[in-house]
Amino acid sequence: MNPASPTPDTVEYWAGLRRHELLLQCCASCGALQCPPRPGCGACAGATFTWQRAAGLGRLESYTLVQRAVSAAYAVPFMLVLVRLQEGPMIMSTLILPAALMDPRLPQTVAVSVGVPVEVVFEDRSDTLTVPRFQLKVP
Amino acid sequence: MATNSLRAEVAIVGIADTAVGVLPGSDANVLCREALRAAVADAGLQLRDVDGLVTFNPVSAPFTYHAEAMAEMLGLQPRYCMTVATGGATTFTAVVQAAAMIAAGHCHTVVVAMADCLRSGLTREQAVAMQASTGHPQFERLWGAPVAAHYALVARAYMAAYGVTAEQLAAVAVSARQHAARHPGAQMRQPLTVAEVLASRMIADPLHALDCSLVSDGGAALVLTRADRARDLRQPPVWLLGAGEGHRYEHLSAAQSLTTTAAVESGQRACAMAGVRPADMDVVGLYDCFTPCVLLQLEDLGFCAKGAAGAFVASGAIAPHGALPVNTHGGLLAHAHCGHPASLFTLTEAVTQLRGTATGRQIKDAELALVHAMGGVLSSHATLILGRERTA
Repeated sequence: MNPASPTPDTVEYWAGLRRHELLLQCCASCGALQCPPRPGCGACAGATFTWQRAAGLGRLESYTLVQRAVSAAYAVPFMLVLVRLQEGPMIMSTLILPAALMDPRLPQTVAVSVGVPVEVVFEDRSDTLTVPRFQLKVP
Repeated sequence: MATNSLRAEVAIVGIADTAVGVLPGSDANVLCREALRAAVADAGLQLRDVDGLVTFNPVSAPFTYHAEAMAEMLGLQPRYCMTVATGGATTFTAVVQAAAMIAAGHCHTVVVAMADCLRSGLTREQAVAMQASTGHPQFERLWGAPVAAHYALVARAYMAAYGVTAEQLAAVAVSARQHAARHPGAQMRQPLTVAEVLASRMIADPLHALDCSLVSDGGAALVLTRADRARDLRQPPVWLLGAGEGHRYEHLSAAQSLTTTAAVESGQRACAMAGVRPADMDVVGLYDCFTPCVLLQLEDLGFCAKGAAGAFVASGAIAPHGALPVNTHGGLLAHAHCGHPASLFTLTEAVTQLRGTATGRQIKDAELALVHAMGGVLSSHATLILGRERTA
């Protein structure tokens, strides 16, 4: 399923993804960073932002191998993750994994655990839509 | 500045549960009306004594103005109507609002009545829409993860932080079945073992199918009235002594913590209003939509130290005859989960226990109850303290 259409506060975020840039909102009032974007600053309720490019690096805050999706339109299993970006904000995404890891019947040799480093991968879904996914960062 | 203005101003004087479980052909509005009428009768009141109505707009059979629609089909013209439509905590916040309206003199007797038919009453389109409704429409829903996966993210973070095991989570489901076996109306009364939970289909690790709550039809209602009217009714009043809420975020990605919830402040506010401590409680009802939620609530509400709830539940402490029996009706895991109205069963069970009429599962000398409900993905929390006596 594609995400709902961008809203005025998110147009720039989605446009950034098209350019393979993960953008953070930087509050013009207090300097707090947030991602994904929202109409207001979660730290000070400020309503004006500048945009800052994220390094695209982070660590897994949590993960789950999803065996049953909301509909048959999604291939299962997939790894749903919460990523704590290096800059501070947390975003929900999915982790691209070696095929062996996606099959719980196989011996698990790749370590996915809370705290492991990950990096963003930009997945172009169409000519107009790019979504941010993640993969384990090779040391 | 918080106040104690609602302490012991209002009593629950009537309760009713409908049949719950798999009710083919059931209609949420018929169940809601049945629950409402039965609760009024339980209080020894007449419908004309009701001047306020709070309902939940059922997913399976909504009206634009649901409370008004219920009033219309009962021939009522209340002074106060409110319809709620959001998650599990809202069920309790609606009770608090009803109590506040009574305390403010806006009305004197309010029925809170809610039902839904998630098992038998949803069209395919409604079922798909409900499944897909978890998460932010732009940033979270695109991954296709069901609500269980969002809770699994919390469970994984909690297990990693505190060394809690899948066996300890499973103990919550086992305990719920033990309680449900003692409740004649519960949907799932067969015994369950930890091994069976762990062998059930994985939905989103670490959550197995049997770590997840039921999908049910059903409803319940309760009657609230002003203190001076509560004394001479058919049932002994059960007093609302404390109420608290906590709301930290809506979307999981905005959570400040994955392992500590707004149940902390919700519980503290409720206990402060009532002038009680968690250790004073005889009856405890928690929101067990998924097994790890019970562990988080036991800790955040102050029944266990942080990280200690896993060992606590695995010891049998929340099971019948344990140190702290939780959800003596079986909860969402074993009694019924008909969606947002399901928290009301926790409340009607607490009232039943405080009345001393929970035949076959009565907690001896039950005087104080804490019940907790939550909504979203551990986002929104509400705690109520109930008592048999007007002063705790």
